[in-house]
Amino acid sequence: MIGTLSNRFIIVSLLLLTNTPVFAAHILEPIGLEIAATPPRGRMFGEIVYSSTKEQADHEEITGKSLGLEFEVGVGEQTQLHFEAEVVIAEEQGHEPAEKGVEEIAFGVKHRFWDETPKNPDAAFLVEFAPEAGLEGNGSELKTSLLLTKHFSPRFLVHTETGYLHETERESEAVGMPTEIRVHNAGFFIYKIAPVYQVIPDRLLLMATLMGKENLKGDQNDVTLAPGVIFVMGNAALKLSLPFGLSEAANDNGVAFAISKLF
Amino acid sequence: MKVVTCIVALILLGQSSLWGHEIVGEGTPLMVSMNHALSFIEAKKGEGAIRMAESIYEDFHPPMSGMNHARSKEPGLKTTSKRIDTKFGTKTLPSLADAIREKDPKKLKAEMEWLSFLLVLEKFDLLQTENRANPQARITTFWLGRNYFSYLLEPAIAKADPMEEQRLNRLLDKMLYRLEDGEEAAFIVLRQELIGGIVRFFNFRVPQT
Repeated sequence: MIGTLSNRFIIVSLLLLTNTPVFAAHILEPIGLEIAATPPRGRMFGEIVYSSTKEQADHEEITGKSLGLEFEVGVGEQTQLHFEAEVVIAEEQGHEPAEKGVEEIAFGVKHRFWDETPKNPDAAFLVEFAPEAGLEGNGSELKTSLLLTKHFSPRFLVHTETGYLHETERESEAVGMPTEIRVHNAGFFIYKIAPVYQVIPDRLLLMATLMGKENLKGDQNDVTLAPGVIFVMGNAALKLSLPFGLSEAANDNGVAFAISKLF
Repeated sequence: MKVVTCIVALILLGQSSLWGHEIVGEGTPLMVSMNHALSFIEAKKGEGAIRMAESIYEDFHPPMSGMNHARSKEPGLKTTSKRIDTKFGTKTLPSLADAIREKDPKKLKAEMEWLSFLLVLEKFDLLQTENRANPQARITTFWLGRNYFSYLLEPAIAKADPMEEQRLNRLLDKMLYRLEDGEEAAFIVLRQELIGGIVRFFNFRVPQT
């Protein structure tokens, strides 16, 4: 009797966990990638990402732990405003003291201009400005990108993000008096592609996100591959990603864990 | 790490349920039970679906009704189908009764989806007669109709055609905005588009009222 009851409980629990789709496609966004979907008007999407990275450089290990926060508010039927912040909890290299602080604060706007049809993908553009970037707060970034999402079968879809990133860094150098301020500018082509397979539709998703950041001058190219999983419960999602570098400039490996919720 | 664990726990505890679909307001006990029956059919547990349908055919005490158990009975499939048949001139009650008597899960699924569609229609029709001076009540009615769609029709659409499911969901979002903005004519146009989408997918025939 107890066995039958527990079997029933398991079956009903499984049914509850595996049935019905998600209202907000937005919470299915893979870690580290923006997707074309926007939150409904007047609703807010929030995400907290904890990430840990490890890298070998000059026979020394560099480890980093950071916490990212992201809030996206649907302000129009297809438009969102968003705010992002990344805080470095600890960044250590060899025997040097750990560094910590605010790595980046950014604001942006995203507008979805196409809804997906059998022929067209979901499409949106994104403009994001970070007035403060880098632990010393002496940098700034401007990013513009095109976001596309397309279903290729009921269970298989692909998200892409391609765009341009402009980084500016101000550096002060005390060459006599007064102090000289040098400004370094760098432009990058960024691309991200994430094929997603829905193991249980809108409930359990597997993906592998390829993220590239190519310096337009041809050096310091970052390429990272991040296999990941998303598990959805109601209007919240738990996400795990295991990025590893495919190029010298990228972090060797890491782990990122995120929780997202639509409010 | 402790902070992260606490945040995760708080968010998970804040979840009203483990539904994959966001439901605004309460799902009615009938809605929830019908969803369970359809889930059983989806999981190839036809017997479980028939048992579930039998248990909610007559007016029923919802499980976990606790202290209210003695006094609150919820309308079952019979009462609801009767009401719907009176409104739309349909024959959902005999068809549902046949499906349960014949223990035919496939037929039960089709009849439950048809009843769900009519319940969506009923709620959206009600919006046109409701007092426009009380927008909050109208929004509640809208969500009740939308929840019937979300619980009972959307899973089948999402499984076969997620693109269409996304389109219909966005249509429902737009309907809500038009309702909130008091744009009645635009709401009716979107409502027709939504009904057209559901009818096409399930091969339903819209009843003449």
